[in-house]
Amino acid sequence: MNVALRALPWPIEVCVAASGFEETCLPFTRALYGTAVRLTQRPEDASDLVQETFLRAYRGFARFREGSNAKAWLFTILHSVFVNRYRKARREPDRISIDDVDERFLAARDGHPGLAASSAPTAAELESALASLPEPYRLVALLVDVEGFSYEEAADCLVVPVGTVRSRLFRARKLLFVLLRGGAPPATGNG
Amino acid sequence: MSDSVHPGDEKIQAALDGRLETRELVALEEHLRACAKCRATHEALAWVKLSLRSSRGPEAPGHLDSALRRTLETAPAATGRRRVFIGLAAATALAAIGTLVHRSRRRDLVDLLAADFTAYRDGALSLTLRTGDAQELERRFRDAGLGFPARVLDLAMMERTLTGGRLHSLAGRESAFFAYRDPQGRPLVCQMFRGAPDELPAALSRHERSGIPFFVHRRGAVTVVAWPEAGVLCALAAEGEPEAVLALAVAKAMRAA
Repeated sequence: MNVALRALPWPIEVCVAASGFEETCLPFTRALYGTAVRLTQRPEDASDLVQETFLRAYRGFARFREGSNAKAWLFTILHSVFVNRYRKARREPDRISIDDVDERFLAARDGHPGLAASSAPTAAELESALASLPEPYRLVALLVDVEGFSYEEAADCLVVPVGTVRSRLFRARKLLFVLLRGGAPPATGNG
Repeated sequence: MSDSVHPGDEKIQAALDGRLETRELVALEEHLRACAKCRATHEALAWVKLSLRSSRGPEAPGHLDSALRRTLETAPAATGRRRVFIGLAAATALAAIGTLVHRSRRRDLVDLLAADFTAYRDGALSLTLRTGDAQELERRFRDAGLGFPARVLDLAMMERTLTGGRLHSLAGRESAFFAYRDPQGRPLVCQMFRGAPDELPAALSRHERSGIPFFVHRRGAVTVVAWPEAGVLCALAAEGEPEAVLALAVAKAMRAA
């Protein structure tokens, strides 16, 4: 693709504003796609979500401040697009209940002494467990534990208080442990 | 904190996420040594966190990259900026992007590493994270969202001065790009990125030091030495004899180990 040989596809100011877009934003394609798949549960929706995220980022790139956190900025856009376009369209009922997670966690914990020496879950086990998490908890686990965002960055991305991130993360981790090492949890009553 | 006063699961999570003051952390660790139940909670939560952190996640499909570029090519204008007549500069920038895209589809990793070195040497690739402090640069990589820890070493003992870095893209994957200069002002570029040695093309030679394999490549006057380091690939690129670049690579790898 030799872009210089043809007419510029966008107005001049867009071209100039976007001149650092590729090197700033495209390195995060894989991370965005991974989160998008785990949110939408559908690869085709995830591709669309990532494209829409980059499109919006591209349009707003002139306002992006060099040296600030591009990854957090992109994930904030991804979350916004997801909420406005995909979640409203087809929100699925939670597969499992978050009720009594503390009790279930304690039962699972006490059933696995010496856990540190045990093996990690397989990729399939992990994906299945993540998919089972209610979406608000899954989102926080993806942002903080998978992508390494701080509580504050995750809170900014999700537009919730830091305390909400902390409590959701706490429950997400406990529920994941139950799902991965505690046997089948009770299904939710409304699903 | 005695073993009869449990710290609470919230405090255990705070410790896992590096959000406790040193004094609180010491007290918690003391409690964990004495309390099997809290220790088990800590282990369980840490196991989940580590499992998530080390998961690679779904791979982006091969067609996504081209779809992204098509989407951006046809993106409608949406900006309030004042129009300025700098079309030549815009065309030049786009040509550079286009050339980079074109090359990235045909060249192997070593070609790209050598090209990045040349671009930096010639002033076509700038450093956006300007600092001569290795720890400061590591922190700034982390703050910029780099998805893995970058080990930036002070190579002053090898007469190389750190000049800064940039969050870079190498063949579509994020890379920690940082540069040094020798006393004559000649550059040395290091890149760290996710990858494995089997992704590299055939090497000119292979060396092993303390169990770490080093792969030496040449592209014109540029030597590229690559090796695995803490789950990522690390590569040094510089002009000069392969032995000299290899010595620097070994020095960095040994100090990082």
